[in-house]
Amino acid sequence: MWIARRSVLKGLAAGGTVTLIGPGAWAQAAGPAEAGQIDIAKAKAEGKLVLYTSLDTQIVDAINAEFTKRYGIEVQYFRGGSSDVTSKVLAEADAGRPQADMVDASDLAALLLMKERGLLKPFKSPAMDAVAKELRDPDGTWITDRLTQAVIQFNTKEFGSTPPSTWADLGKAAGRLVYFSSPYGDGAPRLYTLAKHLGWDLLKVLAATKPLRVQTPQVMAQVLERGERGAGFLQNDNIAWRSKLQGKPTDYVFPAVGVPTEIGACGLLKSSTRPHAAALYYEWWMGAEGQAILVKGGKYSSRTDVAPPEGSTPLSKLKLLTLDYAEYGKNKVKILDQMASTFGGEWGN
Amino acid sequence: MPAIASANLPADARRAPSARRFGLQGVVLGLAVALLLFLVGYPLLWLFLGALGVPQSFGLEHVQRAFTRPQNYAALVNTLQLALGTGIMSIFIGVPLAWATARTDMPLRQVVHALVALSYIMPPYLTALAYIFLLGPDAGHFNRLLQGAFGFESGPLNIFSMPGVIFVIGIHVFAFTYFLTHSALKSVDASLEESAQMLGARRWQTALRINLPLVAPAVTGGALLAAIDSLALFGPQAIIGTPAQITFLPTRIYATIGSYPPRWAEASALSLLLVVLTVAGLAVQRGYLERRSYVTVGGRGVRTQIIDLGAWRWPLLAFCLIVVFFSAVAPIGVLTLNAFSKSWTDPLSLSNLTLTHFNAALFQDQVAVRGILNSLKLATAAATIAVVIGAAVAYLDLRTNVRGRRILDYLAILPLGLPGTVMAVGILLAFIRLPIPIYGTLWILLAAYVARFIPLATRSANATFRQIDPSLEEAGRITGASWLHAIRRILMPLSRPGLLVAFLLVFIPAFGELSATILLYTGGTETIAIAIYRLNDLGQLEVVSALAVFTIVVVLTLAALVNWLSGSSWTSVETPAVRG
Amino acid sequence: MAFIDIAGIDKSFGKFKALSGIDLTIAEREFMTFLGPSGCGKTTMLRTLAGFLTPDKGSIHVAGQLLSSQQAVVPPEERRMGMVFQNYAVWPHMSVFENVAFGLRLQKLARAEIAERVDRIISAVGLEGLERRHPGQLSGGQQQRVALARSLVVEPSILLLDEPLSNLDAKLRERMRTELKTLQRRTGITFVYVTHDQAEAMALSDRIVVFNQGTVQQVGTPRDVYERPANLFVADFMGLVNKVPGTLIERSEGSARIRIGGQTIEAFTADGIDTTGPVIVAIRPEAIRLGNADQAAGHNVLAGTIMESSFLGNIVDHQIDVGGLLMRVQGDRQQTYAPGAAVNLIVPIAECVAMRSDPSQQVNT
Repeated sequence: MWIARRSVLKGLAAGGTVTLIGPGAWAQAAGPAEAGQIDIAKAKAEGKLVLYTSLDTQIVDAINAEFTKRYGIEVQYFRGGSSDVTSKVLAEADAGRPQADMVDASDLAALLLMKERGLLKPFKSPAMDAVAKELRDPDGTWITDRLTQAVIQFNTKEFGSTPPSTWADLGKAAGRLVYFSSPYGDGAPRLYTLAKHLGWDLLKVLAATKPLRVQTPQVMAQVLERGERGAGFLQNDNIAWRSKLQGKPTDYVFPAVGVPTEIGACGLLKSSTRPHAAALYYEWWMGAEGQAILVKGGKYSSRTDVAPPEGSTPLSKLKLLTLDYAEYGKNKVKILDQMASTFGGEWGN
Repeated sequence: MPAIASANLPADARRAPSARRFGLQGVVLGLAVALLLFLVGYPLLWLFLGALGVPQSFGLEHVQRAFTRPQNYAALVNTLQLALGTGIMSIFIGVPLAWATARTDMPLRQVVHALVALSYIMPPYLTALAYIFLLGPDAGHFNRLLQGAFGFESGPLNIFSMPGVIFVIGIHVFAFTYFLTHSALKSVDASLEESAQMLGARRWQTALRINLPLVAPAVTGGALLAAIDSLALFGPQAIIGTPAQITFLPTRIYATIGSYPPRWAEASALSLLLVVLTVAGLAVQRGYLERRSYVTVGGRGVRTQIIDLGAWRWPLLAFCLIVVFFSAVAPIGVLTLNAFSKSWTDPLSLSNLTLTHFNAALFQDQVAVRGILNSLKLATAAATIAVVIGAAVAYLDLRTNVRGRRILDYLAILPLGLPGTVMAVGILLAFIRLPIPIYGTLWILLAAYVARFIPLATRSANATFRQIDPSLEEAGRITGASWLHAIRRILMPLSRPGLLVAFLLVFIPAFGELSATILLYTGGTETIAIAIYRLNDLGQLEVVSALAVFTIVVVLTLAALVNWLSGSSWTSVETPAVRG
Repeated sequence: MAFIDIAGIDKSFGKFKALSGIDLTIAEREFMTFLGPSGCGKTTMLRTLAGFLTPDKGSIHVAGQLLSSQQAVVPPEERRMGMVFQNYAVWPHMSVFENVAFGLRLQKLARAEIAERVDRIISAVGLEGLERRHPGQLSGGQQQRVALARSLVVEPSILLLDEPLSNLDAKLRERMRTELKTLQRRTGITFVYVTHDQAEAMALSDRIVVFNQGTVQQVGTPRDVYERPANLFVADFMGLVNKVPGTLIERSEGSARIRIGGQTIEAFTADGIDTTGPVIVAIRPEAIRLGNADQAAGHNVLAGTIMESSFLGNIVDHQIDVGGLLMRVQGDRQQTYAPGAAVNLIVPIAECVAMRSDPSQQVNT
């Protein structure tokens, strides 16, 4: 038996080693610390990079296509909700088996947590000049790449003549509302923002209409396009924008009383085994060209030198309701409990 | 020469003396045993430790916390409701169908029987998906029909509800009750009924006093197995329940691990709760009901009376066809329809047909293509390893006198009673800390699949070897063949068909496995089930349908192959097979 | 009028004709046995009598009442007959008491009366003390008695038994055989018994019906059937018999002269056989005595040579060459001969039965 067990471990070790010994397994070299140090040849030699993102796949595909065309480096990405992305990065770090080179999440709290765990790599990028100070980490471990506003999207066939103009209006549409959140509570931050600024009673009013809950903003848009529901609250502005642009019978509005805004951010991972390719991609992602592709997909860029999406109100003209991410992170469980008791269902708490 | 006289010795004495001969035989068998302990025993151990808070702390407060939180309590209540609902539903559907196909002259009996098997083979999360298309409020096809026929304003039926979850899972698990009842009915010899008749009992009196008590243990046993299986079906629970704001224990476990930071202790405690429910149910089924079963399994020369229904056969046939329509035909039909439609919400027409979704699913979408390849790789590897281990365990059990081989047998069968979610939690806890980095690779999925499906391979290998007389190998050994040679040239060729069946019996569920995979996968190691699940989340329903159709075609083809190879139909279902 | 009147019964299953033109009568209080090899139709006849099968042609009357015809059949539950099955068919989920009480409970009798009658019959079959047991805890013989008790307690006038003893071991079978016979005598119930064992049939029955290939071969008392077989099949089926081929020389009322090999014997003949042509003479081995040539009247003497003798304990079994024919003789255990010895075979004429040499009548041995 003793013999057998040893041979078993040997077998498993052999198998594990095969996957372990990939290119650069030992080479956790520091890599470039700033944009000027990126070696494009080395990046091309690294051949590919792995991105974990919660950005809409259509936009990611567009960004990747251009990047691969220009540099010939393949981008393999995993797309999940903000919580999915975070938990995968953290679990892999715990297990000593990090996979991603760069991470992007629609919820800043995720990046803050990763920074706290020491997973992010400080990087000095020229993009930092184009992004407001509050929207980036002074140590350069993370930087905001987009701002997502949570709008009211509605079906024009149902509400075209009397479109809802503010959150409270929706309280009258009993049984006709829809909203989204993953089972891990990805929809909670913006709900909390709304509650924090405009009062918890507003949420109770919305909950009383028995809204349909779906997993993702994409499904929410489909529900509204089909007319299965009439209006949705806290939809991603870029999804609503795209839906209207494609000629679907939907429209959207930024309520004047205030629109929750979510800060999405990205950063490089210290454990990356492909530091040059990752940094190159990071520069692309945050650069004017990459951000322009982002804007073409309907997102608002964090760069001040990039115009807002076509036909959209510039951010300066909107009343943005912001979230204190540090506070959210600290009280997350309590907040999720409140969501669960208000709306019911699974919030990952 | 003792060997020649061995024909008259009791079976025990004919086994190879194992203690002394340790060479190759010992290594191979020992290796298999070690793998088994490693893949099944070790994660289970960690489940207990995890619930107690190890390694961060140690104590019962996590367990306590897990059970007092209202979300977990609600999940527990919902899960029990689900089990009860599906159990009862399985009786109402399964028993009449079993009676119709086993004891009456209703036409199309074979068709109904095959379709019930079909509704069971189909991965349950695909059935759930199909019913979103059929009974989704407002947009579902059936709802549209009802609206058109009766002038409802909005879809009268909403699949996103507790009855909806019970329905979708019920039409999958009722197969347990059906098959067990069918077997029991077929093994009631006609003389038991005829003797009652001779004593003056009318038809209904015989049914009530003779047939009913004789098959009652099978009916309750089947319903219990159906209920136990429904506990573990993460796929339908998530796909239908989560949008309906209904939580179940498996989806709660998923949430506690998926959110950050992952709450291991709570997940372990909930997993243990699920295990307790499952094991308790199985203990009742095996210990109490099976002992009271009067069914002679494979009773020789059992003659059953076929009941002439007369005009009643048509209403009965209608009922049976309605059931299998909803459980097998409609789901597969709507998925196929969607896969070929440009947009599933548009009405049916020839102009709406396209092959682009198949193109996307099979060749273009990154995640989908990766998923298909990974599933094929994993299923093949898992089936191979499981068959090797299973064959080794079966060999130890049937051909040697090694002490403790009974315990090994139980260990090999144990995973059958464990929900996939639970196995995944155990494996995560156990392997995330190993010096060998397998988390985040295909290896951890492979470990989970092997651990989950070993029982199927072991049971199948055991049944195969059992049919081969040991004297055949002994004859080889006497003429000078080594142990390995006898295995290779005698045992293996004879057991090849049976082991091939064992291989397929593992391949099929491994190919479509969801509930363990969802906790263990990461970017790059998606499987076909994950691709379906994820794409569904993103609302790409037509591509999802194309992937679903692909999965169904693969699974059905292989199941037909199993049927043909084993020469019998899927009527011998004794314990919950692993699904979802 | 006969108690049970079976007239012209035909029954086919698809292309297979199980019964052809069965005509039988069974008297009250009679122990009647249907005897024959497997597949001969005896069980089919029994089940038709029970009402489980509808005849294609013919009718069955019991006590003057029509029970079966091709148009209508009185269902088994209304015939008030009893039946004991080969596999006993005791219900495993009921205790012995409940099994036996079943029929009485259906008749809605008072509990006290049921209990009394059940207890009485249980002692009658020797199962006292086992009332609470379940069949799974009983031996084969005990289950058999439960089946018997269950059928008898409702006091049927006819009891059908389908090979009830064939699943028991030899010793038990013999014991049960005696008990059944006593039981039948005592209760006066008409027994219709099916078996393939000719010894059993002869031991139990008042009359035997020999079936073969769906037809009645012979009906008669055990002695009739054994000593005066109607044809070769019956002769062969009822026990060891020498089938001696010969040629018919002369025929008169009830007897015939047959040439066998080079010798001539006289034989009894019942059926009409041709004046010329091959015949078979059936002679039982135990009817032949080996001895001197002094001829007693009414006996045939044949000359033969001993080929082989085997001592079997209670008898000696001889194989004897009689003019080229092999004959088997079972004689006294004191009489031994050496192989090659010349002997005389002496057999009463009444023990020689000449019958048609019809290949269809032969049983494959």
